[in-house]
Amino acid sequence: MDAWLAGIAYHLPEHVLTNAQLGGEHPEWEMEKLGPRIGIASRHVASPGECASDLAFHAANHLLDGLGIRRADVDFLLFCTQSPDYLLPTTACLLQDRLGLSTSCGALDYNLGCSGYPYGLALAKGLVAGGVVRNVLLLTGETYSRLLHPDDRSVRPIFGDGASASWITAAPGGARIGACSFGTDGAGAGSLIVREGGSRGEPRRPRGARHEQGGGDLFMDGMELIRFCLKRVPEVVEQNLRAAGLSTEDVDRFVLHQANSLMTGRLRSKLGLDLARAPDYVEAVGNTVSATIPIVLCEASAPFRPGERVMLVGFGVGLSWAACLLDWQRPTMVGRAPTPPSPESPPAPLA
Amino acid sequence: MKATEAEILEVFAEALEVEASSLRPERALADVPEWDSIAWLTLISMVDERWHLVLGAAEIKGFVTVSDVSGHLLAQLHQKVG
Repeated sequence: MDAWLAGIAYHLPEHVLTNAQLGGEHPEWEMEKLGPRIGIASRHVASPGECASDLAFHAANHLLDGLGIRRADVDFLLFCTQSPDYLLPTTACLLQDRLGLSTSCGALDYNLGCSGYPYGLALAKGLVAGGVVRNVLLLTGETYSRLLHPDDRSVRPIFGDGASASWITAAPGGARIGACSFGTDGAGAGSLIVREGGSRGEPRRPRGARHEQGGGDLFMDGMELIRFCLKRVPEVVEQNLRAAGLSTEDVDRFVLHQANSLMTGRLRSKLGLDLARAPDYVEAVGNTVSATIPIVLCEASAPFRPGERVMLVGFGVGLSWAACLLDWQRPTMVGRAPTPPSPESPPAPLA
Repeated sequence: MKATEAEILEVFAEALEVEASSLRPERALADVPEWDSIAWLTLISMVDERWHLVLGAAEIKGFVTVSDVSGHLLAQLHQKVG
């Protein structure tokens, strides 16, 4: 049995942080020069109390309503996040209830970042193609803005918050999920990490607007990540082509994780691709971690034609990377959920 | 693949988005405001594309002057050819 990606929607928090605002806070960052080089002009930032699950909730509602899917037809909910509501339970359980999904629905979180979307498609494909379930709701959502030190120029201009929702089903017609390829190198774990708050690290210390930068903040070793991307992305593209018995020329489009446009530009150049074959969508949203690929698909896939082959490539924190091939037919890009979303106050913290 | 010092300086200047003539060998990188994480990324990827050599983080962090960059690359590329 095949698994099909039938549709995608996404949601961004209402609050927008522009380069001019960042430059106002930090004139020494030279945002007027930095912005064009990273290809990011603004990013959306979650408000205090707004969780990744809230963003994913709105993306999911927009998708299910847009596709006309009954909540009872969701057999399995996968939620990719590194910003869970609680240490436990898994946030997907809370979303099952909040979205009004059946209690016979399976639900789990998985903790991945920028590689999370192709991983999610691969997991959903396994469930559907294996005959385990018929329909999977795949959500990705992050609020990395909470983890960024306000004075860290290496991360703050890059990351934005956002969430995506995708529908993977046994019913044909969208984009058939083809070969999936993976990679992992835990030896590089320290190059993108929040050290505090887990079982092995220090307990998480309080972070405020003026706290000293430390292990509770996202640490990124930019140079190591550059080396990682330049090495692993071409490798996994090749691995995925081999798995499908294809060559680069056989793949019409490539959708790369939108780390920033400097990185995607270098990768395009290394892979011999142009913007038409490997479109970007990062200027207005920044790097939204596991939501970048579905956002590009929503915003930049209009030129994709039925019958084209599309390769999705995610890479980042872990270190972890993955590629996934799609046979593009007629998936529905439901697009961005309205902002502000339909009035519904987020749930109060559980007592 | 062979490279001359002038070619290396040209690539370095392009990565920094400055005139190659401004990159005197003895100039300290600490005095080059354009030498930031974006320039690192650009330099690493340009050197990789042009000469199939991926510079390491420790190597980049060890560069103090312009001539450290060109000298290191000349040696690495020479080694690669040899």
